[in-house]
Amino acid sequence: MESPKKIDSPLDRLDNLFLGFGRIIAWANGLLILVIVLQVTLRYGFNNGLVVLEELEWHLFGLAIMFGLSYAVVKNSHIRVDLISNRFPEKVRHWIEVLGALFLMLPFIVAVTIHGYQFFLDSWIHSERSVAPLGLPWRWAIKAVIPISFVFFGTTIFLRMTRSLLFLFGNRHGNQ
Amino acid sequence: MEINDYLVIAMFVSFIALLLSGYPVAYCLAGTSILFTGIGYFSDQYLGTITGLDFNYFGLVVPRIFKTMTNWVLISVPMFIFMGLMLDKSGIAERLMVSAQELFGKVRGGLAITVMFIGVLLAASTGIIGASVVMLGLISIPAMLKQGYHKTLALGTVASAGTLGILIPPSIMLVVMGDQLSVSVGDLFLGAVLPGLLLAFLYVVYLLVYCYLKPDVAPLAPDRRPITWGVLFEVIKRVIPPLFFILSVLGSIFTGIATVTEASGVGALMAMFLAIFYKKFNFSVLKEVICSTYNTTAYIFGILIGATCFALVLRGLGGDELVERLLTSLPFGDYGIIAFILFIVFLLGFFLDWIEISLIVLPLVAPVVSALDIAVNGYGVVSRPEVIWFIIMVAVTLQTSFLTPPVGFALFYLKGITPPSINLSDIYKGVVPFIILQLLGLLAIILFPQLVLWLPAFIYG
Repeated sequence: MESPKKIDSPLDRLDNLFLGFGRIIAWANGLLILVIVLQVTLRYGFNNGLVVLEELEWHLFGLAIMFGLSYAVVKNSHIRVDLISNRFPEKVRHWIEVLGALFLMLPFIVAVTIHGYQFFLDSWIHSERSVAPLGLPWRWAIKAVIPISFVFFGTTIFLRMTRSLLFLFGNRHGNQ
Repeated sequence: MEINDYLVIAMFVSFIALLLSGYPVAYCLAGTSILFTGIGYFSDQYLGTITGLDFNYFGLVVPRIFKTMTNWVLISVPMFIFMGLMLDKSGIAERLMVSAQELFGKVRGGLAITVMFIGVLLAASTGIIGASVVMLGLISIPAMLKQGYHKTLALGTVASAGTLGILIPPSIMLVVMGDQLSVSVGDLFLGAVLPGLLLAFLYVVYLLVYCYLKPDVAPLAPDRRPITWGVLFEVIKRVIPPLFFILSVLGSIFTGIATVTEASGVGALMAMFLAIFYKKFNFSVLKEVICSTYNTTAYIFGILIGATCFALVLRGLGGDELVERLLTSLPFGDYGIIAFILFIVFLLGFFLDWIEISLIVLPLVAPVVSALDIAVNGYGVVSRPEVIWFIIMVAVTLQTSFLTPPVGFALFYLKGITPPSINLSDIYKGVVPFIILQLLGLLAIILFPQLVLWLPAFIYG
């Protein structure tokens, strides 16, 4: 997929877009290390932990795990139990990918996205913020991560399904 | 049985069938959850069941996902993963390997013991069964084979040392299990120390005795130096930084100075310093570690989110009550029920990693275990001692399961990284003695819960 010689198909370009975005969000974990260390220093060194930092920790964590979902789809690193399926012909494996996306994952993602959007909307209407007086404002922003990251998740699964369809119905871009 | 019960069974069966199709585990869980929301809805309409499942009920998954995002304890998971990957990249494992070998070079089986030692020390931080076995195998199998070790011995050692790593703290598995059953992760870490050391001790004794009785399976290194004070000093100098590192991370948790999350963040930073100290650190290493941390975290939490949805719908169908009813109606008595649960966990371990098992099975059986009439002494210090004891038993059972032919996880990962001249049957033969030792260890924990509970009670008491 990432060999430089081949001309990228539109699918590859989209995949790369998601990978690039993932590589940026990935730094949330690096930032998380710094925030935790800062908080520890303040708490133990100066006896004065900050609520803001504490909340920032789970904001970063939440951001990373939710957007990671689509990254892992593109990387094809979601764990599979492949003891038996290894022996399936490649065609069968692609059919599983297509049917699974159509009947399981895409409906699931649409349902979560709709509910997630409601969840965000509730928070947005009430301009929800942290209950702690010194906490972070904009609680709706982190809640918006759920529907947005699920749209990403759904899109990458759709792209994967398209790849499998291309493979099944004869197109050289379908190979992976 | 009522229609509800059949639906619960159908849900489990579809999940397992989907799993075997090679569709990603996280998707199988998530997909079954939406599928059975639909099935539950229609069965309410046409079959007269009262599951209450519909599109709105399914909406409850969103607050649950949000609760995962705000989960304080789970923040430590990416931190420990970062720490493990960074330690791996810093070349500490190789360094330890070389130095420990100098020390144990004169002992028969010394190299195998070194591997065991490194497995315990380092695999602890990677947590994922595949990752620890692969890492350990890559650095140690070539060395052992080069020295003329019999291949079954070499393979058995790596597989068992790698799986031992998932038990020994800081183990991600214990973080997730503790979070699921809402017990203190600190208690669990401490509880795992003695059982882990017991298993390591059994392994080492076995290796020593076996290599003494059959010297040809483990030849000594031809170029070994005699142990002088100089060598000893050199070894100590090399071992101290990583040892200090591991002990300070664990120590701050054990002594209650820091929370698990705080210790994990500081540990991640210290791992980075260690890599700088060994001159293995640069920006591209950092980038690589950051990206793999992101990736590993993503697939763990993919399964976690899938399992959350699965559990929600299963509860809607009445799965919790069904499992409880089934377990309590077993005619085995209290220990029998525990043995039965462990047996099921053992079987599941053949095709599921610990993540799925701790997320799906543990919450289902936990109420039954809490209600059993087995007096587990928490010394008045440890809260919910029977749950701590139970979790450690499950952990050791899983570990055994990962080692057990024909389909143990560790065995396949090991096969994947060894030269083609090594057959799966060599690996199978190699792990048999270790499985027996595992079962001995498990039996000891079942019979003597104090093995788990004494240390947390002693430290916190």
